[in-house]
Amino acid sequence: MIACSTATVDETRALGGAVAAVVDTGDVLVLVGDLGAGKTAFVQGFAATLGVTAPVTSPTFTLANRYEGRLVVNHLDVYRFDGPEEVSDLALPELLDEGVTLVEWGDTISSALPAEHLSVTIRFGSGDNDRSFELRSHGESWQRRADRLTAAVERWAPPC
Amino acid sequence: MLILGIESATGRVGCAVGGHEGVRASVQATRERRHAELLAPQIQAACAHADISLRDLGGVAVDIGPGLYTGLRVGVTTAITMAHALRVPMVAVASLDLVAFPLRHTGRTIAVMIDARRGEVFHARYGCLPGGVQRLTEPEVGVPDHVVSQMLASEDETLVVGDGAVRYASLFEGLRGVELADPGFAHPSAESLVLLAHALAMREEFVRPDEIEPLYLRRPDARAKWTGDGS
Amino acid sequence: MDGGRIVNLPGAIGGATMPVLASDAAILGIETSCDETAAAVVAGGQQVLSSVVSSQVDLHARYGGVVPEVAGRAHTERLVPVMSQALVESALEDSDIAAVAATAGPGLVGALLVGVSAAKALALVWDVPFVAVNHLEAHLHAAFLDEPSLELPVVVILVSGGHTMLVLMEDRLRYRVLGATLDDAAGEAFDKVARYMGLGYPGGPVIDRLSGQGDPDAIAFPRAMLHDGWNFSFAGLKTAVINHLRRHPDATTEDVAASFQEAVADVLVAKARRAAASHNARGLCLAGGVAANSRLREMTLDACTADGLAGYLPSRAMCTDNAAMVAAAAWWRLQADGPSPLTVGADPSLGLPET
Repeated sequence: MIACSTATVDETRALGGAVAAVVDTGDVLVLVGDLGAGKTAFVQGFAATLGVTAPVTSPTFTLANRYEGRLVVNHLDVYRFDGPEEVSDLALPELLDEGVTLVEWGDTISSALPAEHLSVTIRFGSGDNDRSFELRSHGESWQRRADRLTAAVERWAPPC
Repeated sequence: MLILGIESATGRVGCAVGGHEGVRASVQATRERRHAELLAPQIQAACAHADISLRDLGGVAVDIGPGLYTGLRVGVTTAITMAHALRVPMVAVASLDLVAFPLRHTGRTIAVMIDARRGEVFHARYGCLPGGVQRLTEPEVGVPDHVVSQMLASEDETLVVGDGAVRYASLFEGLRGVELADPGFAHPSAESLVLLAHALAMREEFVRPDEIEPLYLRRPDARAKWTGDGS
Repeated sequence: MDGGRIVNLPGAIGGATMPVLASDAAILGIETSCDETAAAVVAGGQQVLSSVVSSQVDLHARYGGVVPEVAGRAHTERLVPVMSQALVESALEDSDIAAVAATAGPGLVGALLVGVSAAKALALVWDVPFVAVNHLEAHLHAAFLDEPSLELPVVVILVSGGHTMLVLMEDRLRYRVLGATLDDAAGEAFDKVARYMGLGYPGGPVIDRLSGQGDPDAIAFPRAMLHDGWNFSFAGLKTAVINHLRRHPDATTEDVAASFQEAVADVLVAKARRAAASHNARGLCLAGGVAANSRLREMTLDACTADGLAGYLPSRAMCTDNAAMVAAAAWWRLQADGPSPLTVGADPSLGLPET
């Protein structure tokens, strides 16, 4: 597990951008955190690193947004999904295959998601804009990248 | 009877026109995710090459999958809209059947695998009959390893075919009695669709446009798992 | 009805005949950009002969938003019956249809290509032109179907689940996007706030209803960029609502809803008024699904009365996604640009063509 902390929305964006530096097509990131925690800001920075220039907003109205940059970025919101049964309605295999996919609120449906993924849990801190992050690698491909990922997000390591 | 066959279940999209004398014209292209752009001009071209008007058609055939969801939607929507507007009946054929059909003279068991992405394939096994093929198993979605174990268990001489078979070719290397078909047979073709559909039309195995339903396959599988029917 | 066909003027040079559209030409419009499956027949770009909308809102409600794959599947299943019904209700024959139009973007790609494919198929069978229509342009034409005497130029507040923009419409096909949202669409802000408050989906109607019993001045939520250019930002407002609820868990739901709705409507109308004044527009016009919001309608009318502007508030049916607006926009586009090539595909991020 890698711990990070940010004090502003811009820092959260930058952290997302740093994580994007180690991803490739087919990768899945699961974002867990309450509304307003900064998941969208994280994705904005993430997408910007991958060359997305279109404005990135959270996929609330349409639950899957797709952005084209250097890589395709899929941004899904499955907050209200009840279980793996409903996940099949997302046509994930086709989505996942063509880009990097970020899934918000993946916890409820984790069993339907690929075993290989990076989970990013965001929690509110003491100040209005303080956030703490937990990055957990699941599966071999993320374990292999653990060192690169740690180095990429070192700037946001919480003070000991 | 002249039939228009519309094929869009994989990365390949195309159409063919034909009847009792065989295929009169066909057009196809393999350009991933360009189905919506390519299909209508292809139909126009195929009709021009066959020197027919759409009004001459007696039926519309369509590949109903399983396959690429977006591709299927383009083909199925185009086909049902045309059949409805022309007031002609339809013939529905599964993609896996279409991949097996051109290999009907092989005499071996045919294992068809269409790429379902994320490490899965749509698959079914076929036996050869005089003039055609017969499904031995129903279309399913699963991991390629499952198809390998089916083959090992059957001990039949097997020809493996389809874009899924090409993608996971390494799994079949060195298996006794198993051979990978030429990649030229990997995609379902509009020509096979017209030939098969014509045979079905002669037997009046028609469906109405409103009865056509794409074979998505994954959804019912997931349902079965979660409704907990005890199996 | 006849004369609905395209006729080619004889004597044009090099075979490049310019189609002339009969003034009462009937166009079949198809709309499948999001979660409504719709078809309509409109004559002469103005007279709605039929307009059928099959809403998928019930299908998507359980997910709390529109699931693209579910929308695409439902369109495939429903479009043919919806088109048939539109034709039957129009009392026209297939052969009376002069062109077939479909929304080609912006929207969900897997949903758009259902309508585009069906429209091309019909155009081929009936041997009539295919017209690819921009969904946003179609929304701009919707008000004219309710208000044939609408006087231009107008400033259009185009607000929906997917879009929020301020458009100066100078002519039927001549307009300028003055500003747009930099983050969330207005409708999205409604959905998010409703979700956070546990009010269900879609958020617009329920917040509208609750606001009727709340005090719009109870909480002074921020009005982002109120005096600053023509763009909008609603992400901050959403966060402000969440922070308020976090600090005041006992806040009255009705007051929060009313105050939030007030902030959204306030920014939209204030900017539209200023835009109308600086561009000498004759009126304000609402378009898009959020235009059904009662407070937004009320504030728009009040602003028009105060500023001596005409206020155009299309019916709810014309605000939300429908195919009549697609057929109407297609009539104007076909006259100006001719048919679209059959090679046109779905473009999920199509922008408003500015002239």
